[in-house]
Amino acid sequence: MNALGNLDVRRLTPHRPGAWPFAMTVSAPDFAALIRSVAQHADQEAFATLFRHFAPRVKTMLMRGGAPAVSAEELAQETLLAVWRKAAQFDPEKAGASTWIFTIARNLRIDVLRRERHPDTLLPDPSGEPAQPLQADHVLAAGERDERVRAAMAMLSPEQAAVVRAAFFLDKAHGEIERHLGIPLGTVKSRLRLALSKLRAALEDFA
Amino acid sequence: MQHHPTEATLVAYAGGALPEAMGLVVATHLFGCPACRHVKAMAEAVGGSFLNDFPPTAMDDDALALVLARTERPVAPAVPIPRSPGLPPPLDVCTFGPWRRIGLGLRWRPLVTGGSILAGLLEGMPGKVLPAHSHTGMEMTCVIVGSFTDHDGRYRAGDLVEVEGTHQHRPTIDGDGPCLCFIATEGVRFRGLLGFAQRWIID
Repeated sequence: MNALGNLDVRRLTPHRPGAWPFAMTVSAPDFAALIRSVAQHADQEAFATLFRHFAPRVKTMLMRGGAPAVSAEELAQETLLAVWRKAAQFDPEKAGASTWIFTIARNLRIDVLRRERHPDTLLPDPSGEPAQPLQADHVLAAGERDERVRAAMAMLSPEQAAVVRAAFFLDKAHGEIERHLGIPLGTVKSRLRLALSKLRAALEDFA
Repeated sequence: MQHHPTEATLVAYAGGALPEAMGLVVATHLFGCPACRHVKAMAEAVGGSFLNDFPPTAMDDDALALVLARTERPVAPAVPIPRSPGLPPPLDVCTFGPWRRIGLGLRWRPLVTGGSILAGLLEGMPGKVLPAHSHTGMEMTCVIVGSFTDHDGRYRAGDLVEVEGTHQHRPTIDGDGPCLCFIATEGVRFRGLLGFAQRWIID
């Protein structure tokens, strides 16, 4: 088990890598501006656009992570509700829109799993991650960082991309990554290091 | 700060794939480590790109209307209650049990949690040497105050130590004052530093 339930990581693969450059030529709505509009004007129309794009994708992510359709639906709704409520906290300097929404969905999922497993727990809300000191350690247009990370991901070899996905979603503590990929831990580590160094290189002037 | 989580650990943390108490150890380290926060932010951007590229699954017909209706209801913002002032975030909002002496110069304060994770604060007096022990599961430690040494190096406040596999070590508290650590270990059978503590607690 891992934080996303019984996960089949192969099914987590998004579109074919070849689809990326094509997808990038389609002009996407400016999600960050829409979130700002929700924060400033309680803009229901902007929210509807965000909802239509993200809720069905959050649902897919959760279902591929092993959640039944009903709970995935519920959690996708909760995620978008949190987007509305937390819109004022969205800081485009810190995270792009899809990254921010990803972290909300992730935290809600962790929270649900926690309540299911041990309701008496007194651990803090994971979304209440400590406020980081607001030093400008990496001030960058996060939207652009997201775009570069996305482009760099598309450039990874299939083996490297697989190892990133596995490290991202599978339970490290129980050796699921090695089992799933069928390669020893040392190889997992070296491939991951290589993949991350490529991502880092794409962000070099940002760091 | 010299000892950091592995990249695999930071990526798993960003993906929500770390057991939660281990996530707390990582979060404790992240609070004081801009370099690891940078890697975490990058990994979260990978998550954002995964999310963006998933094909959509149709939501219920009334989903948007339901959520919009719920936005009308005001909610009181959740303010974290400082339950353990004096500890660094995020541990300051965690609840710990009472301190228990677990031997000469060593005490243990469990995190109130459930499941198969054992986690808590371990404090040792200067000069205390823990018996040599080995690990079979994964164990993570973040030093909060003071320092200790094992054959791999010296660990000071903010450092994160990650051990797994057949790692064997013999930590020694080496500073002038006590060393306080937050530790999480996974598995039904407790080993490692905590296994040592566990034996004392059970005995």
